[in-house]
Amino acid sequence: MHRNWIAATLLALTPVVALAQSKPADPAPAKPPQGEPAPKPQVDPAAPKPQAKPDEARKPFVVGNMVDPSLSFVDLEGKTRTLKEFAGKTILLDFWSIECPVSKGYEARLTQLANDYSSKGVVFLAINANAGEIADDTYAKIKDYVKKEKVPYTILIDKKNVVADRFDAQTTPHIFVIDDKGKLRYAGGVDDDETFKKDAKAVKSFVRDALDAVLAGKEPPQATTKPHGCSIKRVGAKS
Amino acid sequence: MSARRPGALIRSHASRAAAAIACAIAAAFSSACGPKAPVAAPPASATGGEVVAVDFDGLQLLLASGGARATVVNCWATWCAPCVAELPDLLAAAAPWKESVQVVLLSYDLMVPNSGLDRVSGVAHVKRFLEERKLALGDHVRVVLYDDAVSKLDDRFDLPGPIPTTVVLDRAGKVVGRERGAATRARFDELFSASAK
Repeated sequence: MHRNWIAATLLALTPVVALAQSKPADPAPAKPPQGEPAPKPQVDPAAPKPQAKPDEARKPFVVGNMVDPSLSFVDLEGKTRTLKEFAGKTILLDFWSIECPVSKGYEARLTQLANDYSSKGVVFLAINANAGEIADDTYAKIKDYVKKEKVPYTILIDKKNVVADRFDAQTTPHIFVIDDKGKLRYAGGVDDDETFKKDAKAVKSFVRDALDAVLAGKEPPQATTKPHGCSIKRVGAKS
Repeated sequence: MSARRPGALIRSHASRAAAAIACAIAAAFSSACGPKAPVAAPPASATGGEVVAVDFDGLQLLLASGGARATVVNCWATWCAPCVAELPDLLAAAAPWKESVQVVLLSYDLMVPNSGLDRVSGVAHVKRFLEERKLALGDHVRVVLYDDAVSKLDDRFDLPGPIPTTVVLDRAGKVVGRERGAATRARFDELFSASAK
């Protein structure tokens, strides 16, 4: 039993150790002999300045954070768009795919949500960040899909995964709700009915609950849930 | 008739096909495979390339049926490209451990909205998929289609949500290792080693 605990602990620490090892090793300060004062560190004016703190601007948002409105995308016509143009509105970001069966399966429910909440001022943005789907700059396949499926929301391309990384988007679908002040209020899945086998009344729609709460100026009952679906293949990642 | 039949266990091994069909037919006319039916413990022979479909309770029983062996559970789906890509490495890493570790390839193929698959057709689909790729599944490998609330799996194994994900269970069923996302052959080797500790 003890060995299991040790194994679990070692395993849990492994990523931390690996992370630590991936950084350049700091030279270990020489320990002064006991009783002697520690030598004052000499400052070399030519030495590079101490490294700045980790770049806050690249940390993934968590619920409660203000979302950077300068985050930009490209629309299907190749035009640059930013979140700033939707300032003052509640925004639903749906990381989305035209190939993932889970994302495609949820299309009808997302469309229904868009139909129900667009009239309440919610902006629906579907973000495609999948390396295999956005390599073609004409986005012809995506346009065909949008036309065929009559997708009602705005499609935006996250060409370099900057937006996916800032939101730490993992799957398609993966939903994020930003309130009209620009604060991230919900991150997670669409609902608890992954197979669409539940009776409609029994389905717990995390997104619907979050939107209702945010529009009413309240906290979503569940601010985060686990997303399920196809992993987003990052641009430049090995297959 | 809903395709969801908690408690039913569908097998696609040739010798089990009749049982599967009988169950499906019975389910259409009675509750023999329905929600009120007791969850059948999977037979010890449900290995070696067999593909089965279970609900959460069935999965629990199946895991417990590994006896004194540790278990490596790999969450995957035929539609998940990184999952499929890592399967050969997983199976290769598993081979030296076949006496002491059972491998459960836990498929999410039924965890898709409007997939058009039920347990019977889902099992056939996954079996065909594995056969086409000529993946060598030994008796230490069980292929299991999960057909229940995915939140139960998340809670039981503290899963992150996205797949692939691999968890290592010790002989008592406790999670002693995990990999979120795709693993390399070397990482799978580490996970199997962790199962032995």
